[in-house]
This record gives sequence, structure tokens and C-alpha cells, in this order.
Amino acid sequence: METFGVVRRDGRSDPFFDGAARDRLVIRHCPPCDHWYAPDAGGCPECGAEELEWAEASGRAVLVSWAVAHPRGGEPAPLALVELAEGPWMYGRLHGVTSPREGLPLRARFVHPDEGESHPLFEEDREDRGL
Amino acid sequence: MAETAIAGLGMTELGKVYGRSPRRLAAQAVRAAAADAGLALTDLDGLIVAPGMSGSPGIELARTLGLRDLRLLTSMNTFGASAGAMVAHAASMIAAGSASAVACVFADAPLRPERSAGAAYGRDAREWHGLDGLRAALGFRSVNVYYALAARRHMLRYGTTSEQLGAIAVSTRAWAAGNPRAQLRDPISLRDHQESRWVVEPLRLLDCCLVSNGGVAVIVTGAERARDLARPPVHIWGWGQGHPGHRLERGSAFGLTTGAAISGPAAMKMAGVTPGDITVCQLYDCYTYTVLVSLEDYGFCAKGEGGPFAASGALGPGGALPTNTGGGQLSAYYLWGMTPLSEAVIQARGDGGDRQAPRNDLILVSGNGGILDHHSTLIVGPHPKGRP
Repeated sequence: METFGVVRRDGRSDPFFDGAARDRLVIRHCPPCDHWYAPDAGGCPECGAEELEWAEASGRAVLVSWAVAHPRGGEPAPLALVELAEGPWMYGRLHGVTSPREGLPLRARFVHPDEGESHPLFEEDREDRGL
Repeated sequence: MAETAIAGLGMTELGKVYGRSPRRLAAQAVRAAAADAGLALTDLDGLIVAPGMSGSPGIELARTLGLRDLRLLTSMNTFGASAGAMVAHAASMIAAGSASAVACVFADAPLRPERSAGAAYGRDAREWHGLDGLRAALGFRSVNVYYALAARRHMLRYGTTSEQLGAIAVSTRAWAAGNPRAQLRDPISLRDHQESRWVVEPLRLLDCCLVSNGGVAVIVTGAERARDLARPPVHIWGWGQGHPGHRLERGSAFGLTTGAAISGPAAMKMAGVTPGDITVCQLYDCYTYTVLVSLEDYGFCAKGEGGPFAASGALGPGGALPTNTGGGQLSAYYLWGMTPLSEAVIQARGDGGDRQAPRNDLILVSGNGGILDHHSTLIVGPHPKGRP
């Protein structure tokens, strides 16, 4: 069983956690230039807009790079950089990916812990989307 | 532009040095550097400090040292690139006539007795807050993770292997054997590297640098003045910085190239040299991977060829491009950019003893900060600029 630390809100990213509670990946979007950013982006370097909106992403992604943390006395943690379908990269944790490779199709799935906030993990997307 | 040189080097005890604050270590290093140059503290008219993990030392160091009537006092921070940035700023100010003898210092004391080296830079908590906290809760507990992701990307794109990274660990340790200041001096084999535990796969324990307490300072003066001081001048030929600002999105070059691709050509152009003229490298080796990717970006081998280049034996004793001749951050001591800079000064002076590189004419020094976000380059040597 995977174990995660307990995550609390900090008042700056509530829409992300609200989205996770509803099994939706909510990230940042710049309406003037239609550029998408990771949830922790602070402004738009494309057009200089200071405010980004929170917007629902598809939750689809591909694997860019991965690493397995081996904490002493803890379980190995499969961590990753993923490229969301909308373009931005996001740091995340993999779930059940046994044969990672660059470009592996992924999709967000959500964890709803007893204590603390819901959050996404990324698992292999086996669905044929006929792309 | 007036030529400049490094006239003094001061180093405290390095490694498991407890009971001294970063400020005290910094003060000790500046005093030692001035004494090494044959200068009194009252001869200094500039001080540049780079803070470590604790945010100290800051410009209060001037008061600690009792320095008066300074013409230059500032704190500079580009993380691991700070050392090169400090020396470049000191040299620029001296060349402009705004200062004449400038101390540049870094000190840090992240190690504590009865706490593991990993804990010095790691994070642990029962609860986390916000997006940054979520990342930590998922397992992104130290900078090792981000470098592991970068290294993996290089492996995926160019076929770089763990054994090739291991070749850097082995050659660096071979150099450390000749450095009395090195924290780790026992030789290691590629097998030792391959059998060392994973820290964050694909990085093993022997791919990761040490954690050290200590302070290092250098004194920069005009080249003419340095000639009359106590030690042979280490002439500054060129410098550069590169801050690529990789955006993490589709098409990013994260993990594939670094700021060295900007910083290196700038420094070499100023120095009037090409990679083929460089005889020794002191590269920022927070990880074996950092050395490998920097070698490519500086043009010592083609992009993607860093692995085979390292595995060829070029970097070790007897190799074509002696690199990290003091044992680097991997085996000697981790004082951020002062690790490569201090060894460059020692090599340029011919003070390397058992580890002295045979040809020390032009030494390239790199600094790397953040997650490959910041890079600085210095090119130094024992000869006045333009006369290798």
C-alpha cells in the first residue's frame, strides 16, 4: 500500500484541491494567449498576463522522465515528469506503471485519503483513443 | 580592460567541522586568503559574500571582520554559480577602477553532529501545505529527485548509462587520493559504483556529492598588483554566465543542455580560446551527471557523447583532460562553486602535489546552481592573458 504525507491547503491553490476532490485535474490557463501552465505557475511569460485562470485539463499526459526515490527505511517512490496533453510539464507520482518509457500514455487518477486533501497520481492510459 | 588575477586563497578545515557558524567560517576563510596573498585585512577595499543553505554569511561579515571604508560590499546568490559570478564581478569592478582588492567568500554549515548528511538537504514533515507541500508528500523530498529526472532524460535521449556516470565517480575518486583535504580518498572501482545503493534511481550513492561544512575565500586584485604579492598570480582570462530559463513544457531541453552552452562560449570568447586550448577542467559535480552534461555543453565532446567521453578515461589521472583534480564535490568537499574554484587556484599555482596536472596552462572552472538553472564559467591560468 502506498503511503503519502498528509497534505493541507495553503489558500493559494484551493481550486486545484477542489478539482482533485471531484476527480478533475485543474491547472492554470492564460485566456489572452490560450497557453496552459502547471498548477504552480505564477503568471504568463508568453504575454505577460499577471493573472492565470484555473481551468480543467483533460488529465491525459505522456511520460517525459521518471525516477525512483529510495528513502532510507521507506518504500520506493516512483516519481515522474509528465507532459500534459495541453502542453505543460508537471511533477507527479506514478501508480502501477511497470514498464516506464518515454512517451508512455498516462492519465490522472485521484487519491482521496481519509485525512488531508485529494490529489492526482498518474497511471498508464490503456484506453485506445483512436488518435 | 585592465587585467585581473586571483592573488589569495583561504580555506578553513572542511567536512565534519562542527561548532562554528557559517559567518565565523567565512571570516576565517577571508583572513586566511588575505594572509595567503600577503595582504592585511586593511588592504581590502571590497567584500562579496555568497550565502549557503542557512542564508549566512551576509554583508554583516564586513563588520565581523572589522573592515572599514570599503568601496564594494554586496551579497550575490546564483546558488552553485555564485563563486564564478563573484569573481567576475570583483574583476569587473577592479577593471573599472572601483575597487582594488576584493575578497569573495562562501561558507556553509549544513552538517550537524548526529544527523545524516542526507537530512542536511532533505525535507521531512508529518503534514505538508499547498502544491509545494503536495510534491514533497508524494516523495519529492530533496534536490536529488530533480537531478535524477534530468539524468534519466539524458539517458533516454542519448543512451547514457549508469556505468558511464560511474566512470566519473571512479576518476574523481582517483584524483581525490592525492588531495590531503579530500573527505573520501580510498579508491573505488566501477563495481563499487554499480553496487552502491540507489539514492534516487538512476542516481546511486556514488553519483551524489558529499555534504560539507567549511568556508573558502579568494582575493581578486589587478594583475600588476598580484605580481608583487606573496603568491604567484592566477590570471583571470575570461568569464561568463548562463541562465537558460528552461520552461517545463512541450519541447523543453531540461536535462539535455545546461547554461554552460551560453556561459562557456562567452567565457572562451573573452579569453580568446577554444575548448581545445583548455588543459584542465574543474567542473561543478554535485552529481556525476552534471559533469557529463557540462562537458558536452562546453564542447569538449559532441552533444550526447558525454558518456563515451567519460568512459574513455579522459578525465582521470593520465587522461587527456584532467577533470576535478582535487576530487571535486563527489570525493573531496562540497563548498558549492568554491570547490572547483579552489582547486583551479591550487592547480594554476602548481601546488597540486601528488595530484598536480601535468599541463596547467588554461583551467576552466564551472558553477551550476538550482536544477541546472544557473551556470557560471571562469577561465584562469598561471600566465598573463594572451600568453598561454
